[in-house]
Amino acid sequence: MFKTGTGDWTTIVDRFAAFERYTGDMNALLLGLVLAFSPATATVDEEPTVDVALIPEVKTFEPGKPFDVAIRVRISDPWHTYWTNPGDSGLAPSAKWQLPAGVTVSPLRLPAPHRIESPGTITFGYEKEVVFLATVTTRPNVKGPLNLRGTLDLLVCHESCIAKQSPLTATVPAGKATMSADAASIFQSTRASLPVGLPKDAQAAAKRSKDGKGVELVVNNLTGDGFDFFALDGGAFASARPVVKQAGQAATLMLAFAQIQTSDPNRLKGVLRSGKNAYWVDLPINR
Amino acid sequence: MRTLTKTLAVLSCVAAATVLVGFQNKAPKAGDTAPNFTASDAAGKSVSLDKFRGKFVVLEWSNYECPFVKKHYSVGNMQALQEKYTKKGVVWLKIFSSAPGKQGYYEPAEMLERGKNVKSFATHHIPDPKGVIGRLYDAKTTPQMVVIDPKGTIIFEGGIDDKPSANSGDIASSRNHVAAALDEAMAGREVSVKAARPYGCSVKYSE
Repeated sequence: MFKTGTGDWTTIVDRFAAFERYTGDMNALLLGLVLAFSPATATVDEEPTVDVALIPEVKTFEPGKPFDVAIRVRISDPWHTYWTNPGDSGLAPSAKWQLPAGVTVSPLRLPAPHRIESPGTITFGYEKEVVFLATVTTRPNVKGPLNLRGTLDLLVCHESCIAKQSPLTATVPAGKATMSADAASIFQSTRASLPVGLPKDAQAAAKRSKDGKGVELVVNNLTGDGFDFFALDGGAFASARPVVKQAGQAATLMLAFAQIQTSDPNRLKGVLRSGKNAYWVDLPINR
Repeated sequence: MRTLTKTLAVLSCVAAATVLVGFQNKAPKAGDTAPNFTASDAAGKSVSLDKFRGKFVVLEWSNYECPFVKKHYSVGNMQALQEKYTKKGVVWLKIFSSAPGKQGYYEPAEMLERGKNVKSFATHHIPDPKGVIGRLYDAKTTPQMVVIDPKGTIIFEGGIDDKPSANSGDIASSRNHVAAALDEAMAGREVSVKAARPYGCSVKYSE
């Protein structure tokens, strides 16, 4: 903490200044002195623990028949990783695969994110545990056992950021497709966390706001409270929580355009949260 | 005590910049006049953006521990840009808006040392521990870039290139927006990409 003479004074004077502003009180000034000399009032974090597992839904696979795999990510507190649109900073997860001929893996399907706020930035992502799903497709002539090999790239941040590369490995014998009983619950809970289409009786429409500063998303007949929206295009939309106005069965979400706007969208794509439920929205933006 | 006086001078400059923020409720965009700031660089020299009128200026937000900053420094990409354009008369201001105790915060002497170690060609390394300059420009990430023309107008702001990744291997195949903006403007042409989505680590501002 105290490496150079110059630095000591900067730190102390800065902390004095902060305390003086808040209180202007002599006691607080003394407290400031104590804090300035006590070690580790704010320090850079330790490294996070990131545990990644590749879990096939089947015990044995039938060549030609697709099956799902789960990528379970466990991150030690208080660290987090990111959604497809990470928000103001961060990076989307990405998986790279080395696969035998005739085998492909779909892009990752990610659960609805949460908003993670820190001074000056809002990001979209996950803490503690998150599970991504992907579908493995095999040609009928693929022989077992199938070796799935890949790498998951994650950016894990709290105060600082660490780029984590984790190996993805699983081996699945060929045979008549049999579901893995051990994996059933993780697939069930993960599927429940993935956004779905809007219910049939709900209506949604998007239009540019009159002041030109954003888009109004109007939702009708969708029960639940605590509406929130996560836009896929971070180049178009800000990461701030939308302003929500609710009137009876209708809710209006005001989504602000990004401060540095790099795309002018004609569609609104993203995840609408309503309480615990999450829905995919893809609507034309009416002018 | 001389150091303390110097620090107090820095603080009063920071206070002056705070007043400016009060009038500025929206972050500046490409096409706007770059808001002025005055600060002390890591060597103790006073730096005022206004004094650089007549020259191109690049603002770079940095934090050497951020994987996205490492992406550009580990292979010499950022240093090569700094060298090329400072040799053409561009003023390069590298700004550190991390708060004390947070990643990317360096005491002034350490900041100079780290600059030497990475072979930085930045004209000035500027500590911004209270995030005054960062908030004035609404800098969200490291790295994040602003290019200002000789008239003091912002001609580019945002991410350094079009490949938002922490992988140095992506640099060769990406479009460097800062180099492009400077080349185009120096040739008297319109800047084709005026804004790009910033990508990287968040700026570790004070609470």
